[in-house]
Amino acid sequence: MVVDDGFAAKSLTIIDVSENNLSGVIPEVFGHLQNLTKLHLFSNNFSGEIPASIGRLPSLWTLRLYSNRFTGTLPLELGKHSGLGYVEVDDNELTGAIPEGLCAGGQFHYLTAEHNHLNGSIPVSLANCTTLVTLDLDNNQLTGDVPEALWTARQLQFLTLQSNQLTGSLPAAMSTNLKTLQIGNNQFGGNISASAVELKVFTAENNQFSGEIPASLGDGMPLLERLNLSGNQLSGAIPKSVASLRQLTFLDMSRNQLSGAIPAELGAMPVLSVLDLSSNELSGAIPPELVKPNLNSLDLSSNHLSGQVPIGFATAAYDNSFRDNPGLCTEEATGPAGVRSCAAAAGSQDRGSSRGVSHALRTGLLVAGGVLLAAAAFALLLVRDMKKRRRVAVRDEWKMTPFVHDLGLGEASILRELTEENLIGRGGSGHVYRVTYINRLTGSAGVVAVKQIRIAGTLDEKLEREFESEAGILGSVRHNNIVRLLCCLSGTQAKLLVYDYMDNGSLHQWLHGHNSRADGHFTARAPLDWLTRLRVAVGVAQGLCYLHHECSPPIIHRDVKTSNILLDSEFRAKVADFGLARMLVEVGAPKTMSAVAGSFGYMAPGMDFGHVHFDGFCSVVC
Amino acid sequence: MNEKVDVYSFGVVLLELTTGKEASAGGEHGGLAEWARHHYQSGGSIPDATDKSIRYAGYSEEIQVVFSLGVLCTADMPSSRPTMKDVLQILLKCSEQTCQKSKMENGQEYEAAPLLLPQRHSRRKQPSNGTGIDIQENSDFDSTV
Repeated sequence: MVVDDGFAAKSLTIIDVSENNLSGVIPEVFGHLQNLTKLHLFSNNFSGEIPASIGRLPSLWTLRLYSNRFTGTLPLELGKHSGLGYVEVDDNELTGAIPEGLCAGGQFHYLTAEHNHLNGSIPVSLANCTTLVTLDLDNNQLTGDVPEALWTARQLQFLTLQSNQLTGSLPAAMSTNLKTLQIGNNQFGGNISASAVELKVFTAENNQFSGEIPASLGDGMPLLERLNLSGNQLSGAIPKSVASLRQLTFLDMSRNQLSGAIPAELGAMPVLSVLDLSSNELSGAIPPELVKPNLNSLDLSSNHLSGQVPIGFATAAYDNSFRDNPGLCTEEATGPAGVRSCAAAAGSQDRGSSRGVSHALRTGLLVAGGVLLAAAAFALLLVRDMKKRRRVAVRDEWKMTPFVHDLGLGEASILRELTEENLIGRGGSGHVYRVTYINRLTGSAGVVAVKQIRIAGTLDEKLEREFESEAGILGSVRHNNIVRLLCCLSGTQAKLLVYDYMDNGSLHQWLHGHNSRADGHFTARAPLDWLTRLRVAVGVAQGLCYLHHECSPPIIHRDVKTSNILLDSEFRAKVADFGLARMLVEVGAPKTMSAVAGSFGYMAPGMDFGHVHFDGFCSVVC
Repeated sequence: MNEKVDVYSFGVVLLELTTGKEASAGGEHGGLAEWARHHYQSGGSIPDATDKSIRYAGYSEEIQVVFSLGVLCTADMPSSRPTMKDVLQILLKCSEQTCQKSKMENGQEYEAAPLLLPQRHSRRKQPSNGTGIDIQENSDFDSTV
């Protein structure tokens, strides 16, 4: 279908043909609609250039053209003739520069233009725009210094400039409203900022930042959740104050020139789950404090660390964590890869310095050591064997990512309960189990729901990392009407998502009487009364409102349906099951098939199940 | 894709809550959303479409609001759908009203409710319930920025 030129409704105020399969070019005549406030053509197959006259529309407020195949440049005069607020042109093939006058009307909030071929530099006028809230220019060919004013733009909350060729440096203190700053894969230099009080996500990998990591970072960015400074030229020691980032879950400082010892304080960070300090010049011993259950990814390889690898790291999850540190040794019989045994090391040292030790004592020590070693090896074999037997039909090694600090639940206690008798649901994407356990921290009994998603194909490393990062963000979403994701376990053939268990099952069961459980039991239920139904509706609306309006950019659930609305013991509604499960099911399956199989009747017309992408933050309750 | 896809799906949930029908149960019309739209536009009565187990409980006005809101949320054009913020406001107002009613002794005044229900509705008729919900195909909710 083509929008043609024979169209003359001159008083039109809104044109919205978004999310269709329309093709063709933007008719020149659109540029003469004096009253047009909104031009929404997103998610179609439009092509050709955006007429220059669009830039002269006197009433234009929102221009949403994303996900098309537009070429050419953005209209040069865009923003100069109207109180423009929003320009969203991501995922096109646009070239040329960012127009100078976007903010000329004094009301400009929002420019998203990622994945185009824009070049030139970021206009100073845009950096000086005091109303700017969001600027997303990832994956373009922008060059030049970023104007200094941008880092301190008063209203700016979301700034992402990844994968361009931008230069410049950060000021010591950035905007106090900034929540997300992503500037990886550019050519920024100078020092790392020390202060941005609202910042939650700060990624600046693969740039040329140098100098030391500011000692006051821990106080200056107290809300940080993700910090990625890898692939720069940072030097000096890792400041102890990093450990006071209580909300940090992801810390990557790999591929720098950091030296000194690893601060033991890092072991006390409550929610840190990924720590990568590889390829630096760190020395000294590995602090035993780092052995903690929620640190599930640790990479200290390619440093100058020495001494013994702390005992608690003897699990497969840490197998590659210590490679290429010639000074390290391990006490374990089968220690981490690339680390030699301490016994051998001690042996070679002994020969040099054993003159004062009697032969008998040395023999005694060696024998005792040998016995201990044999006992340790035997114990290890025994444990492995027991683990093997427990993992019925699951041959995987599992990696656990907790999202709450008082989980008190280990992988073993989950895995052994994934049995037929605990099965409470079978879905398109996998099985759901009800698992009871004893909380290791509190000693009390708890119940969780475990969703097992089998992976159809093999996940490549990128998708794997994406899954983890998205699970991490969903794990940090906290709202009364959203089911808490407690942790996720990642294996090569399946993923396990562990949620709070909801006593009253799903809204679907209550409304449509499909009460059969997986075990064939039927239970009679009284129909829900109107008051309960309305309360459920309000609860779900509150949950979705939070995801849409308090998260930036918004989190789109994609699969709202009654079977994903769960009810707790007091019939409070909790939204469950984000796109996460579907994301994995789509691997190896035609995506339209899995989408349709999932939720017929709930999909908006023309809805395209593109890849979900969560990357951001959420603020206060809606 | 934007958040209006969730608004659509949530609209279907509202229709399920009021009609008791399943999302896929639209018969010749396709899904429940299409069925509800057709029912609404052809002047079918909402009580007729209401789930039997809540039809006579005395909340027909509120049910009508929620049903209409479901139709509005499932508009074909994403920009015609309200935002979740708008939806939440309407539902909160509606539940205030419901709560007030349920506080009064489960009333004699509602026993006759089925007889008092409006029988037919024109396509654009506004339910006079003070919640301010107005079903207009082309109403635009995006202006609430």
